[in-house]
Amino acid sequence: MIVRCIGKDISFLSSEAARTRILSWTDSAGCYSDLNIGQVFSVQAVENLDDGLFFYLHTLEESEHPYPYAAEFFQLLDTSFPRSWETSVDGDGQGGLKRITFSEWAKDDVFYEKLVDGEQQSVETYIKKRAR
Amino acid sequence: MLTMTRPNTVRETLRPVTSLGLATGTFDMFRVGSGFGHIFYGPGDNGYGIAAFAAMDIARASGLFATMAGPFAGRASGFRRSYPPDAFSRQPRGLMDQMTLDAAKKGAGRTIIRNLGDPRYKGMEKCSYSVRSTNGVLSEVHYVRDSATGNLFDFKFKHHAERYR
Repeated sequence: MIVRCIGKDISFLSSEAARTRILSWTDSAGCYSDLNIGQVFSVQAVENLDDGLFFYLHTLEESEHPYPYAAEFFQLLDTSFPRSWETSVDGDGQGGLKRITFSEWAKDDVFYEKLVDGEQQSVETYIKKRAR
Repeated sequence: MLTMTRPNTVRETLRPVTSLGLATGTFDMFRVGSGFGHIFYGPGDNGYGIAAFAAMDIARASGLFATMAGPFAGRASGFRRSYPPDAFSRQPRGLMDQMTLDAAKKGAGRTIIRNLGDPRYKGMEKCSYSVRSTNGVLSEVHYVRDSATGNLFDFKFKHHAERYR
């Protein structure tokens, strides 16, 4: 799954509801300052956060983990998922989508938190499974 | 307004000393003098930079003194930890790091995890603030925000602008 950045500021969004929802995930100015319009990224995970879709993108190459970005700021260039990805849902399967990514992350609600904290096993798994 | 509580400030201050042997801050303490040396022998800089180098030297000297005096002063021993060792650095290594940390302490950055599962920070947010210099160097700080109180704490460098040799 590959996306291209087409916006980085909530002023780009036409829906007031979307601006309000996404503002709590951007900096205080409503901007993703680490994005540049036109940049292309491989998506590492798709997650439902605050009733909206977010893409996890590896925007800082020095980092050991990706960062979440609201899907509204991206154009889909390749909509296919890697064959190894899995879907996780809330509750007993009747709830909404939680996330779509490789199985270790899909099944584990705190995988990303462990990855951000630098837990060795999570980092090794991410390096191995990261979409290029 | 987001503020940082005093206990966290103290905790942050003590951590490099009490994590002796585990944190890079340990070895940093023995670099006392390099900051003043940089002022006299380093490249030209503005006043803020010179002050920062001097301040870093003073901080390093304080850490060295605290570690040496710990067993005799009755304060928390420099060799005893009351919390798990931490792999992350909490001390800035240069002016750019210091400025990144200062901005993070004022709430700059954005949320990357909404609802932490870590029992210490259950339900709080993990935030990230990063700055990339014009020559491509990255400085990044992660911290925890308690959305109920607005308090910010547990500041950690994920990437330093300056690397030790």
